[in-house]
Amino acid sequence: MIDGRDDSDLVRRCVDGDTEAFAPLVERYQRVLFTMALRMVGNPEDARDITQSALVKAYEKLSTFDPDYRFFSWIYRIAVNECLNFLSRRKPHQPLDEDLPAGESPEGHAEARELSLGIDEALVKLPTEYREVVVLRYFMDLSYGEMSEVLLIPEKTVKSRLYTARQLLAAHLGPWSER
Amino acid sequence: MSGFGPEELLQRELDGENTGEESAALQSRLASDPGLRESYERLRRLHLALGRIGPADPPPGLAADVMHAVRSRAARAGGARGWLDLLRAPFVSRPAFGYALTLAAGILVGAVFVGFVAPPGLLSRRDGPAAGTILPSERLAEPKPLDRQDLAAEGIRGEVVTNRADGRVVAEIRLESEGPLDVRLGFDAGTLSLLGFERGRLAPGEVRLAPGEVRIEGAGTGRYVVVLGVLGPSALRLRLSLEGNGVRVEKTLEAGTGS
Repeated sequence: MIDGRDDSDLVRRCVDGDTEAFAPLVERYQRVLFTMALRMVGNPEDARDITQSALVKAYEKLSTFDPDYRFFSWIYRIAVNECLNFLSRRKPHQPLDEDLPAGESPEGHAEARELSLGIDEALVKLPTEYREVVVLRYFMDLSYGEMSEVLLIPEKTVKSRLYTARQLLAAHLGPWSER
Repeated sequence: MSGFGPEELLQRELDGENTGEESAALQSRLASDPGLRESYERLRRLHLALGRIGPADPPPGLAADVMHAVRSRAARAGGARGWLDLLRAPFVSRPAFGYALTLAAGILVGAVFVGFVAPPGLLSRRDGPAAGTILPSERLAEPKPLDRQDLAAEGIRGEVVTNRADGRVVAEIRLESEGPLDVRLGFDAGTLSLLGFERGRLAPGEVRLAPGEVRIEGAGTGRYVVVLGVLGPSALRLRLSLEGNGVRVEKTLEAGTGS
């Protein structure tokens, strides 16, 4: 999946003054960070701004990155914080953007799109601490250990939050999940 | 069997964490408990549906915009880092020379201290400490603005000033406004490049940066500073427009010439 050693080499080159070494890191992480931001905030324009801001902040803080840790955990953490800051500033109950991209469903049919929209709507109704575990688990494909690193919480807490998040999501989806 | 309760076994089954024995125990419970089976089916459908939603494509131009911002920051930081590198270089390449240099600098600083600050008796000088300035007087003068224009209109007060500093064009906008303003500072992207944007801590507005334009939506009372790098040798002008409070103000600002 992600070559951590390669990431560290690129980070070191950036810190040594090679600005262009940051470009492959941007290419590598923009998709996952944008997907995470989109699922967290529910609006493509806001997700774009958050992703850009997170990547630029990461560049500015590269000298503080500890190469003993994984770069993706570090940069996800920055992006998660950007999302949380954004959500704390946003008015509660702001409606979801109806044009939210549904992603690449293998079926690509109307039913899949309806399902995706239903999940997006249910997701944005979840409290933030539950939403982030669902996003990291299902859209970032992170393991419990990786989620624990990114969220700075014990694995046990990750599991219990995901447990509650699934229950809440199923409850929000209601009629669909009974199908 | 393990110490997990049925609900936790369901979750572990979804995540593939159950041992063979635990899975078998769960299947046995599901067969005899319709309520638990229904709960499992509901969570399994959700789990599969979540897994089917793929990643979203990032908008076109996102990576380019990030790198544009990163290069601007690197360019701004370049000057400061250059001095640091200059100071650090002797210690990295030739440590003995570096320490000798530090000693010489220390002696020089000590001499300046004794000569200018120490009491007269310390040096047995009768003519007292020296007075005056080390820098030539013109170095202490404020940089002369290239252009300064008033931004007064209905419900708006302020001014915009353009300066040159270290070969860069700096446009400083100070505003007082009764309502939100749409502020646009336009420039020729062929001769000027955006290096940075700053604003006062309380200055409101959403900033949109694009090649050839800085736009502040919802600007208001506060200070906004745009720093531009000079790319080519030609006369440089900036276009400033303010719109809001039912009025529109447009200004063309002189920013010198490229070197």
